[in-house]
Amino acid sequence: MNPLDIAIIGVAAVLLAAVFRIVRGPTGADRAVAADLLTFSVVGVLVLVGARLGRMGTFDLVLIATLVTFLSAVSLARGLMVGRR
Amino acid sequence: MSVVTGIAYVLIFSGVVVFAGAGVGVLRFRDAYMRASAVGTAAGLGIALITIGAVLTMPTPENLIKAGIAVVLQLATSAVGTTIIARAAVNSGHDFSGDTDLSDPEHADAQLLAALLDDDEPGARASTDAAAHDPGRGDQNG
Repeated sequence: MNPLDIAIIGVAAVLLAAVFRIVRGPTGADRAVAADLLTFSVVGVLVLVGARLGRMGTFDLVLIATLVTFLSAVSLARGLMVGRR
Repeated sequence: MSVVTGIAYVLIFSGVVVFAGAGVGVLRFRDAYMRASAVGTAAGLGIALITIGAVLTMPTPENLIKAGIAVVLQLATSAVGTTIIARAAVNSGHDFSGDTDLSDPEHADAQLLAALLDDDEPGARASTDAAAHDPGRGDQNG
């Protein structure tokens, strides 16, 4: 087994932990924080799968995904405030 | 396996361990603010380590530049994003865990000073006790 496969399994386990917390809650803030971790986990899986397959375009995607992760965090915060500032 | 690939795997597995810390924190911590603390610090550093390790498995100049920009952005934005979520949680009235210290932070310095002064008192008493039991000083007094 390639060492990168083990790393992918480790990050995927964190992804499942984030999904579990989103399902369980109990509050909206817990779900928002877990969704933040979920986006980080997706970026991590993206990096590791790209390295495993040896694709050169991976880091373009990672660069974009990093920016989208920040935008998603801001959106989650706005959603938590339910439109107020 | 070359030396660079070995370093890459060490960095990737360090990142996975740090990242797993965020996962355990999200599962085990008691309120959203503790979970935000775990995610904000561990996930940013974990993803940065994983990205550096992954780029070392195929280190071309353009990959190094892209990954470097991605790591800088990740470290700069992950903590800020999580802090924004935690701030929104405070402002929207989400409860803190029962054992959280919610005393006024403006008076934290005064409280810390009072605690330090309290700590000094037992030390001072111990030194006077030591002087009382010092035989040399006892002879001078006698």
